[in-house]
Amino acid sequence: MNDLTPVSTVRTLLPRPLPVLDGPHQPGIVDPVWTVTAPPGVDSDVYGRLYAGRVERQNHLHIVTADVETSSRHTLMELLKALGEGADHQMRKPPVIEGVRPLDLPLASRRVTVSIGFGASLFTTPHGDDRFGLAARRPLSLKIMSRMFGDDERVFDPQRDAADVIILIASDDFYVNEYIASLLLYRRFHPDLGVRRIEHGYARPDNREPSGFEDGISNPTAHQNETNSFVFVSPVDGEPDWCVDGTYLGYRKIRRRMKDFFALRPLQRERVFGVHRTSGERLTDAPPSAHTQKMNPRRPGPDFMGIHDLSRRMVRRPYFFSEGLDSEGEEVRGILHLSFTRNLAANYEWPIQMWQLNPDFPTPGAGVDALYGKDGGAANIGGGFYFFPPARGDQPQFGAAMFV
Amino acid sequence: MHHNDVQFWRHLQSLPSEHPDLPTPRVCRLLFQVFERWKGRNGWLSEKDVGHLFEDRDDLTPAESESLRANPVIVRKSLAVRRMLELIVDPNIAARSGSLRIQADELLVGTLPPFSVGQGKEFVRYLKKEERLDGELRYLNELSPMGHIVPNHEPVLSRGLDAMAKDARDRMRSSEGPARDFHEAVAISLEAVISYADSLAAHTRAAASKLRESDPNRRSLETVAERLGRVPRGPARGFHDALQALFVMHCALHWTVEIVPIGRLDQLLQPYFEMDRASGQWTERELLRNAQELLDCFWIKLDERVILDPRHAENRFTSSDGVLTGMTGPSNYDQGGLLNQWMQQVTIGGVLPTDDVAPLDACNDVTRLCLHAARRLPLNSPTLDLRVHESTPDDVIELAAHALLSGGAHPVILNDHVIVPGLHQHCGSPIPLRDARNYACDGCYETMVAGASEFSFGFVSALSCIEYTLNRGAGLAMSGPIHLRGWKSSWRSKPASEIKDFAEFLDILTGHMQLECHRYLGNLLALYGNKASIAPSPLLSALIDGCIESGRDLTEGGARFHIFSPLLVGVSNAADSLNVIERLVFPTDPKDQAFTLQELATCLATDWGQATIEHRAGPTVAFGPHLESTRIAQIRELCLAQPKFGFGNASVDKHAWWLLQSFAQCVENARTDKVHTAAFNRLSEKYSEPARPFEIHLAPGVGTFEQYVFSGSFNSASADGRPAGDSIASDLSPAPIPSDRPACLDQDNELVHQRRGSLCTSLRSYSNPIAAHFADGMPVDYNVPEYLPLHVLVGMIRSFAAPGGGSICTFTAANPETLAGAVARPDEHNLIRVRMGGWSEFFIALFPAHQSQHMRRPLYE
Repeated sequence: MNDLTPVSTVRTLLPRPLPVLDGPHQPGIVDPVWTVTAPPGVDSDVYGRLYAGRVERQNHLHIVTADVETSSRHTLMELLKALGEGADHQMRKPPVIEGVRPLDLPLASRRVTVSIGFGASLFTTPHGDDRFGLAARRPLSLKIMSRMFGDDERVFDPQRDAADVIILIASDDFYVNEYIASLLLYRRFHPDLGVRRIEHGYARPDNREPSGFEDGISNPTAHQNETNSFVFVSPVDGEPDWCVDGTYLGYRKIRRRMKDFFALRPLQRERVFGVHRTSGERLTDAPPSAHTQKMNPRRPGPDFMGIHDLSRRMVRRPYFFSEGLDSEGEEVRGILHLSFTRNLAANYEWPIQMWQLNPDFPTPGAGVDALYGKDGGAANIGGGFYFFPPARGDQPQFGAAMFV
Repeated sequence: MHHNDVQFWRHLQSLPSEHPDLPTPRVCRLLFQVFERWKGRNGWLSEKDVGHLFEDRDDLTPAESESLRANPVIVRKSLAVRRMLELIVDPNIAARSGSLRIQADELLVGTLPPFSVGQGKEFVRYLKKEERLDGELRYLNELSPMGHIVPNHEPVLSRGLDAMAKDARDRMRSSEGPARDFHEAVAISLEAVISYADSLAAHTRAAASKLRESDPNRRSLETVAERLGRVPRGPARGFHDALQALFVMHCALHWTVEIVPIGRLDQLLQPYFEMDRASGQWTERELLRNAQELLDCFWIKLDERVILDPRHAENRFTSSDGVLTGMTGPSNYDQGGLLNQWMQQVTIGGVLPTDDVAPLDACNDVTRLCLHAARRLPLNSPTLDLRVHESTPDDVIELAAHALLSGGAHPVILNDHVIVPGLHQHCGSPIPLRDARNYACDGCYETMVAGASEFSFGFVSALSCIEYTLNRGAGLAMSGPIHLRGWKSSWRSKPASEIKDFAEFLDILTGHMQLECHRYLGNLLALYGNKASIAPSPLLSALIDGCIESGRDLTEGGARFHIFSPLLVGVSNAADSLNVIERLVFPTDPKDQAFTLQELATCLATDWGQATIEHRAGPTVAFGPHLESTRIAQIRELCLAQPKFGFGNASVDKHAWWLLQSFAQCVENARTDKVHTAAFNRLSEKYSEPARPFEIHLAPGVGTFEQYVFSGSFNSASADGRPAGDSIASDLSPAPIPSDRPACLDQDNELVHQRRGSLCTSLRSYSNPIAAHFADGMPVDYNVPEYLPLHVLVGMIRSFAAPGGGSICTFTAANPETLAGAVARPDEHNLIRVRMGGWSEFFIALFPAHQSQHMRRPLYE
């Protein structure tokens, strides 16, 4: 339970929720999260509408991808043990008070989460080798991301960029993330874990992405008691047993070239997204290629697989990045699009391939998602698929069940 | 036709709900999961998981080990079957190897092994140390069963395994010696399958219990579990029962190293479909929908072990795996071309197994359901074999054409007008007509009496025979500094320089071919029955007519029919070569001679000038007459420019038919030659029974299967212009373009194939009365464009499978651009399938040499 004591009866200032460190799932996936019910003294309508069950991301995210530089199964087990313990230590240790000035408010927590995911290459290398004897333990839909429409092939090759491990470091302070990322970079967690890439992003408190529209508007929330059922693998999913309570990550680093978008009139911008910017309500006359029409269809009945559109949702945890200008003077910024789901193939790849990038959905000739058109200016410049095992729990080490 | 899974799903998404191409939601979900599985690497049992029946087992006391050890080999084999079927349902082993998976949506439960002809197998070892050595002396071990044999599932469905096991126990009690051991082994094996089904039922029940009460799959899985308690233990009471019983039996066979096909599925299942119909529980529409859904589920089950990346392959082969009866030496063949070949052939259509003068068409509801499944589901297995005759209904032919154009390269089309007489009349003593009419395909396309035959085959290379003729009984491929003239293989014949005309050339060639046939038969007769003491097959024997009745294992003459096929390989390249030799070396007018036979031999020995030695006088051939490189190049161009077999050109085709006629005659000569009389008599004395004389049926065929790369690797360059070691044509297909020549040219942004033909015209190359002497079939594998009009293909199937038509044909639908694209961007072509001879393979799962050969095959329209 998080501490949500109101500090004012006129203007309720709620302390931000803390990461859940002792649950069955890894922290940093669907937490920190606001409690479902409003704390005493808080306007329940306002709370229910704007807070209840919503993930309250930390301010900063570092995404570290790394490779396991050994072919020894035993060393891999040691590496994961060290990584799990290191992550745990960083999440649990109290904020450093050294250097804090006397008049500064004391800080109870920097809300650090360090979440660890495995890439398909950990189970079978891109060259096809089962180097750790784990091929048969692969989460069912974990694979190297395939190329797709919208990839900027000059800078992004999913095969080349596929890493063995991904570590999501999140906290409210950039420098804390930097510190943990550097521990990884300097191989302080384990000498055989070689960092390949570090990305960083920031969270806007209003969830709006660079063009001003809210991202993750259709996220299931704990308020609806849905989040976990969408995110975490359950025993009936047909996945290997060790995957239960774990989750898949679909990650795309999406660059947005905003020049053309900002040249549009506000109503035209709304037609790219298919929603009213301020309210998030759907436009009644949105074109079929509008982002919402493509990514969040709401057909009344089940599809040909017997699955309702609403069942194919994922939980998005977006962060934004800005890396200045490229060599041609164009902005390099956009969204680190992180989506968690219990079924990568059905709830992540399907919406993208069958809806978003299918030129004949929802109607023949609709075209692909307008965000990936000239006006939207989107292009994928990074990404990958990963699986986040459950929290260590009572296992002797992180990921141990995978080796049974 | 869909090139990849994304295209496929988008297509299904666009279809209206009752569209015939749209499987049920359950089938779509299962298929979706299978596609996901293909994108990773399969789990495998480790050798440690499997272990030995009685050695190094911590769970056995010394007395228990000794008790197991004391059993005869065949009983130990059956105990190994039992142990294997217990191991694979052990949850820990299953978690590591994927040997047991139950999905919530499943209507049929059971999991096939990843064992394939290319990747090998694992099985519980059961031989004693001294037996192991004895076996290895003859290249035999516990992994030696070779599959390829069509079981008879009918008693499994109609009687159930309880009754079959009880029958075996009864026979055991009334027999003695080896027969007693055999019946005991059969009983143990069948009882092991019953226990396996019980385990599956328990695991299914457990899987159901994990689902919410409100989940309809919970009830569905409970019903599956209940069914597994009834079948295959008892007789099937309907279509679902029958399919589940058959699938459990199929899984059990494959896990216990019997990689066998399924047989005439439509004939096996139709009675149970009729039971459902007669029950009145469903409307006709529901009946068909339910049966189609079940059959689709069955199709998907057979494909769970696909690997799409050849780098995901295992290699569990030993020197003694899958031994062909009659072969000696270590087992090595083109494993890399067989990664997803599980021998899961389903034969449908054809005629009923009667003795009536006029054959009766056998097509039924299930025939059509199978064709729908083959069209709707983009899978490589089962490979569907459609037997066709002149009374095959039009709608069946049309369904077949639709399936072929959907891209699966199946069904294979077999002409009953050729195959049935071949089996009935042209493979030694006559096989009764009703049995010949009951043929089904083995794991490739080879034919045998379904559920009543043992079967094996061997190869005779037509190209090698030409090499021997040119080179005094030696192969040219190894001509050079080490072997000088070449690899001595046949008897020494006249030097090329002394062969005076084409007739004499053919005469010498026939002599070499005759020797090859004698050797094949000699080895077969000498080695027949040698598996019995090392690798008997009690479980499979229970499903082969004759074994139970005779009290003898399949490996020991137990089956009713003993069909063996000598296969002529490389006929098309050889025919093209003979055409060159006749036209350019021995033309009617000697003035037209372009080069001599000696010059040709030097061209071939040097691989068209590529394999020369440095000599003080300059580059030259290591052994034999020198020839200038410019002359060699000139000769090759002349050879390449000659017309090729398979395009309806009678002047070339005659050479193929001469080769085939000669081969059939050589096989018959060998069979009747007194040199083999003693060996025949020995087998006859050992295996004949008063009411059933032992008879070996020799059913010649033409076939490389997927071995066109491997087979070509042994041959030197050939007179048709093919480089040394280059792949040869598959089966009786026309030769591919040589690998050092472009298969396609880019013309106006379109890849234009450089060897094109007309389907209609090509028929002339494949229609000849001698085809009926090749009971094992002589397939042509056509590559056709994806846009081939349906009516053209329908017409072609009708014409090919008419009286006087061809023997067997297959069709791979793929444009040159598609195959080129698949090489460059495999993930975008993960559903492209091509014909490998007897089965279909995903193109991107092939190694480059195979991909190249497919791209070089002629394109027909």
